[in-house]
Amino acid sequence: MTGDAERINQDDLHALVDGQLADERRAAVERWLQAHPEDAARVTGWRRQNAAIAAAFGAVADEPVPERLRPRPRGWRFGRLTAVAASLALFCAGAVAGWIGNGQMGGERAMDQRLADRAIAAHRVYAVEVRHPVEVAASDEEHLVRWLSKRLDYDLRVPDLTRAGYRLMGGRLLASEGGPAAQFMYEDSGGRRITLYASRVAQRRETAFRFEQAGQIGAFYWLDGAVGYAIIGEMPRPALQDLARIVYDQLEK
Amino acid sequence: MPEFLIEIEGCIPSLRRYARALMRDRERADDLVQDCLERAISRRRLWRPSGSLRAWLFTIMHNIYANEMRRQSTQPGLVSVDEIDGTLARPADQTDRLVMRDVGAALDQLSGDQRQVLLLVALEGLSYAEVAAVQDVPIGTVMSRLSRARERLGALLDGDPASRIRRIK
Repeated sequence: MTGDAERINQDDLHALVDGQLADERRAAVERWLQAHPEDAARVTGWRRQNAAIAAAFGAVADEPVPERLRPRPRGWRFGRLTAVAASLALFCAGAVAGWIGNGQMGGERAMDQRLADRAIAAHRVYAVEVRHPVEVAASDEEHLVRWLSKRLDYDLRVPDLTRAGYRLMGGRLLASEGGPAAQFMYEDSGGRRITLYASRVAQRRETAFRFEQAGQIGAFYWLDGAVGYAIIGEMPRPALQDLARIVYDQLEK
Repeated sequence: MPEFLIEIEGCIPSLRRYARALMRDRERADDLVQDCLERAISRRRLWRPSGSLRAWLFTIMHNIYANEMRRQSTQPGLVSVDEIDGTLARPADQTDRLVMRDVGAALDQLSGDQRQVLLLVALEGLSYAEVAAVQDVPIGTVMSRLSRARERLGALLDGDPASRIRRIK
């Protein structure tokens, strides 16, 4: 595009319609349009086209994303066709064994959502505790981790969130659907508490990060093989997402 | 790595919207998105964080789409009007239905390259430079495709006095 403010070309008109002009240039083009009604009519027509395209397809972005399009923490294990073939095979196997519905076709979602529900419920109960927020305090962290790992029969790790401003207070053992679960509680300098929930799950699965909001409380949760995790807190979603990311990174190491 | 996935996840609504406008068939559009995501994740090491992730994903999608179009170039008429109605995203009122059919039918009259340029610009708000990178062509080519697309669309939508497109003003 030319630097000459008086020479307006067709590219300038497109750029005006698409909001791709710098302020100064835009003012020059708008001045030009006042003196050139044919170009002004063209611009109006193009704007109407943009609006029509947005009206026809804009709402697609607000639809819930189908399960098959959610990225998993370790990437998709199968291509699309193999996944279809796999779920078909699973379906047939299930029909033969009299076992349907717990596989890739719907059981998974319910399983991780139930985990999130339990994690939120546990957060509600214990995060407000003044005197007994945890069973075993962080001062005894080694024992805490050993004990909970033993009960969950899984090598648990406790993420260090000090970089994010949260210090470990301690943890507790909880009862869950599939047996024992663990809750670790953290607190920031303002006394704001978050909890990390870890529970065995009935079937090994890996899922993407998912988010759930229950009133003021938000939860990011994911399944990572034999164990599912949820990080719970009362904060805006992006802040909680940052924490989920830190937790995931440390658990993966 | 989860950071990359979280960022990718944030782009999915936009990828779906673009794919739907391009294919105008819900299942085929989501297939395209899924292929694009799988390829992006398997090639995540090629991703340079300096650029726009969304534009990179559109580039991948463009390449998959272009390949598919080449493969299917011998089978015209992929989507019937009935199917288009059936793929409407949400309970739409009559006006939306007409707009979608009119705009969609008009977009079908454009060449694939022109349609992509127009949708990336008008629907997805990509800069001309980003579109040039997606299609791997000079920016001048993008501008001329855009120009031809708008000219053609204008003739199709505004040239017809019975056109319903005016309703959405």
